[in-house]
Amino acid sequence: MSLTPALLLLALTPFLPLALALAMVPRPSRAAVGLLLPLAPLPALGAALLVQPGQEVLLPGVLLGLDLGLDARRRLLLLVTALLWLAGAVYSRGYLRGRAGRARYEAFFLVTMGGNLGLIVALDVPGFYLFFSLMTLASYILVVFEGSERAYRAGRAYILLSILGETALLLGFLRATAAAESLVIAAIPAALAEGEAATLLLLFAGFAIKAGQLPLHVWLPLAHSAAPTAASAVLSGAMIKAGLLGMVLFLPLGEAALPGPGLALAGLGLATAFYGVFCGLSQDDPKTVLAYSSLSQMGLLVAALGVVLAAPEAGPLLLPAVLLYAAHHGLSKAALFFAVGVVRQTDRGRLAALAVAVVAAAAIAGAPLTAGALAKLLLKQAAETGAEAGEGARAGALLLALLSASAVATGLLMLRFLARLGVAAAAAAERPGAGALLWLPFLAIALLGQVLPWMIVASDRGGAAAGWGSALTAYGLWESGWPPLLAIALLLLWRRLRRAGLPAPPPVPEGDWLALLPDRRASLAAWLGLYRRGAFALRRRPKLLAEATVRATALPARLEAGLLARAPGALALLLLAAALVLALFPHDG
Amino acid sequence: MIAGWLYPLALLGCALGPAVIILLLGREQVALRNLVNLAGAAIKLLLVGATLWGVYQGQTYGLRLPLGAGLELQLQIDALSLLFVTLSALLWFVTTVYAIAYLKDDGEQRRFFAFFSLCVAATVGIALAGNLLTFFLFYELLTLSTLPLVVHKGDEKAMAAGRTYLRYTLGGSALLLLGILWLEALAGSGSFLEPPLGMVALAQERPMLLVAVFALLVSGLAVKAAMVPLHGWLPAAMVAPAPVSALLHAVAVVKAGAFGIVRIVFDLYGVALTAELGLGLPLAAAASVTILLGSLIALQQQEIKRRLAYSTISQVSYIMLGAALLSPLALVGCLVHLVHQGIMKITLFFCAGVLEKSLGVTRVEQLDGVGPRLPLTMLAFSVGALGMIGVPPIAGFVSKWYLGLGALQAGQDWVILVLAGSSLLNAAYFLPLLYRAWFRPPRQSWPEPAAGTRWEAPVWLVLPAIFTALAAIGAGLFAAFPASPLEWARLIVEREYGTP
Repeated sequence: MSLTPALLLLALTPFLPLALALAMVPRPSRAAVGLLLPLAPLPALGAALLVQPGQEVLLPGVLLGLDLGLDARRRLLLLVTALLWLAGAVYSRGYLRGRAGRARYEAFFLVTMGGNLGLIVALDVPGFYLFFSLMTLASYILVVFEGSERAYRAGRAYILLSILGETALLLGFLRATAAAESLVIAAIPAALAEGEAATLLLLFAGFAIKAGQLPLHVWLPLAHSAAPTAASAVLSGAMIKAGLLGMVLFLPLGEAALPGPGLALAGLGLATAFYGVFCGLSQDDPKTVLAYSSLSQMGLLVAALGVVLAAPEAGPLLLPAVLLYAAHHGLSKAALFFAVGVVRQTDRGRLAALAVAVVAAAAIAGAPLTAGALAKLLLKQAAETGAEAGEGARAGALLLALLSASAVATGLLMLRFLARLGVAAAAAAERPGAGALLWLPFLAIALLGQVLPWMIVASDRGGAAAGWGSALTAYGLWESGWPPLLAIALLLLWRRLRRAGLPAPPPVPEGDWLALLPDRRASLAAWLGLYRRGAFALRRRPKLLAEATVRATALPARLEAGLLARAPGALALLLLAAALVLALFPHDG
Repeated sequence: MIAGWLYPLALLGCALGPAVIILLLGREQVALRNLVNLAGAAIKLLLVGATLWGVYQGQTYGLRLPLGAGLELQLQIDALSLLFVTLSALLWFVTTVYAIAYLKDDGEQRRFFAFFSLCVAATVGIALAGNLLTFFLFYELLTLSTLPLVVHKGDEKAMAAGRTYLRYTLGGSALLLLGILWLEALAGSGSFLEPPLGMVALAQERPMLLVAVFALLVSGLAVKAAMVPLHGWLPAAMVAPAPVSALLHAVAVVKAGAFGIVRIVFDLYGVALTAELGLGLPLAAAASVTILLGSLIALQQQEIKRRLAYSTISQVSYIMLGAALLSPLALVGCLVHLVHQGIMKITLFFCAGVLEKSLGVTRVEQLDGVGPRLPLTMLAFSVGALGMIGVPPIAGFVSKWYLGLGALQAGQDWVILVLAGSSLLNAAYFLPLLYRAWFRPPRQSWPEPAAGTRWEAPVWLVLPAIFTALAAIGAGLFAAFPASPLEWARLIVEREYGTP
């Protein structure tokens, strides 16, 4: 294997960020390495542009034999992810200027980046798991960076659910590799085509947690809003897509028709899509609104994957549409997060920043002529093929029926975001000023968010391109135009009703159902015991409950004490019995 | 070219020699004693290197010493024994460096180091033993030579721990001896090289007898391997100085029990016979109970070393679990975990020793904010803890991966749930420690490091921890490299049981 420049870039994709992170360990080199932060995602960017499908880098000695490469699905995601990390790195340099603990942030920013980029190019299962875990664990430090009580609460929810997710993934990966008898990811979907329920469930659960799907989504609104804004952008724009990519790579999409699991996936995704909007509408922090919007949008894409699972013939159209939508969402959502930081810090050009945010929000809502409209339209056209499939048509029909409704809901949520962004812009107390390091990535990503999806579709000579022109026809304009208009009308109606005396509904707390649990500075151990306190029947008798809890947590120790008290005796007895048997047994010779 | 029989003798001598010399030396000849100690450990490392190469090339080295009356001492270097010898040689060297620094101001260093060397010699003997009799002799030498180390502090608590230790281990040894004698009477001498002649016939005629012997042997060894409910001595032995705990948990006593069980399953009974007699499942169940119960109890411990001790109980049973599953991949996982657990756990104990020695931190709640004060130590500790949880690329992940695949290969799907539960519990009792150390503000101001040093703590306490932490990362990150523990484990399984 000769090392061409493209392959070198491929190898550096995960390892340059990781090497730079390592270089931050010695104290004297930290400041200098920090300056190199924006260089770290460049190999990934180059690899996304230069590496051809089929080219691989084999590192046979690393882990269980690391295998890096790209295919069409990974390539688009790598491109967008690298762009987002590049923008995030520049933004971080500006956002955290002069902050204490900046080196720690930058070191773990690099590890997270290496993990996120690495998992996209990993072709083998252990490698994927390695990078996935690196990303998950390292981003904990980004989530709790602000050091506030809110950040640590978010961190607890994040790490608890992440570890559950990682464990589910490890189990799923073990079962999947055993079934495929291969460590290569590409071999796994076919091996799971028989619909191995337990394996599918484990894999889906692990990735669904990362993608913020019901009911284990609660960490996401907490973590994405508690993290520093520079990190929120990559969390919500890039890392959340790792869950989606995992589903695309590992689930038997297009391998077999699994109408049951497909319908379940579609139902769960759509439930998340609407539930996310419902919870997001009453949030005050604009970043929390965005976080709920992210999990809602991911719900839509998970539903689309459900359609492919139910009707494999929809795959060739639907999978590219899903990936394009993910690319569009990643860029525009990151732009909106960047906007929050810019309007809070800038003293000049706030209106300009708000205007750019309006465009990005309109794209997320799928308003006509935006990249979002294109992505939504392609998704819809592809879903139609799924709805026409024979056996698995129900999942497609479900998605198709609710797609427009979800666009209306997203429109409402974006209006909420813009309102809260305006409030945040007006309310910021101190304005250190936003320099070029904040403005530049913000504007660049917002621009790319509008341009890149069109370019990708235009350059695609395959079937997906057939639909792109229709976004500009009267049909396309109407299709993408009415949901945002309806959202605005609904908002006006709601305002009118409120003025007429309609009481405000109770707000949904940040992290929705998590707030029902009593918050405690508690270890995982105490956490595991918490569910008892939620049980209503027992809540009326707190004393009994407390005693039961104490008794339950002390159980292993008591069991051990009992065992230990008896062990020597038992040992002696065993010895005696053995001696007796030995003595009584007749031996020859 | 040295004659083949010299290798095992030389390996033993590298540790036995220093033990004797140290006893002959005066109490005050500190420098000479340290030199002898380190020289022995270093020579042994070189020897191990040479032997590794030879065995890799397909050589075997052996030595037979008839004792009369049909008894025979037998030392044998094969791939499996070398796995254990290499681990012990490497960790012995590191621990010697650590112990010299740790016990700098201790009055009983001579006694300590003499028995320390003896203990390592016994471990080597156990690894090299070619038959049950030889194994038993060294096993008992280990029991006795460890006792002075456990009671080293000499206070009431240490003496009580020593009594507990003796009561358990002697009981276990008695069971083991009974098993050995019974087997000898039934089937002839128990050699690891070729199964006793009578065994095959016996398996046909009276399989229950072999089952009973297996139960005796394994339950005798399970005492040292600290399987529930025979684990009571291990948490008590935590009163020993940190280097002793480190060695006890990583290579010496606990591993001797585990290694013995591996020998019995692999070589004495053999995989085929163990499977035929249906002995795998009960052993797997016992190991699983130990894994989960050990972790559950570890959750409750507020003393750092006690928490680590229960973690050992849980982690060492992975080895027995892998051996009990009997599928090739599980056997690879079993063997590789023998090494990986040792490297990771010794790191954790080294760090616990640094915490105690330099800051007086022994309890979990005292860890608040200790990370910034002892960054290198806590970095090493974090590597060990994350490795135990099974986070890649640290060594523990590789063990777990192979054990999990091995369980599926053996058709025992439930085992991966045990592995997952154990991972979650490991996270539950290790992550709070890391959280406290790195993210909580300190409760009090820490004592400053000694003047005139750039190190956070005595340098020869910190460096061994860093070294083993790096080894734990290396063993996982480069698991597929030719010289890695994983590849050696695969070599063993390949040679003895066809393809893994």
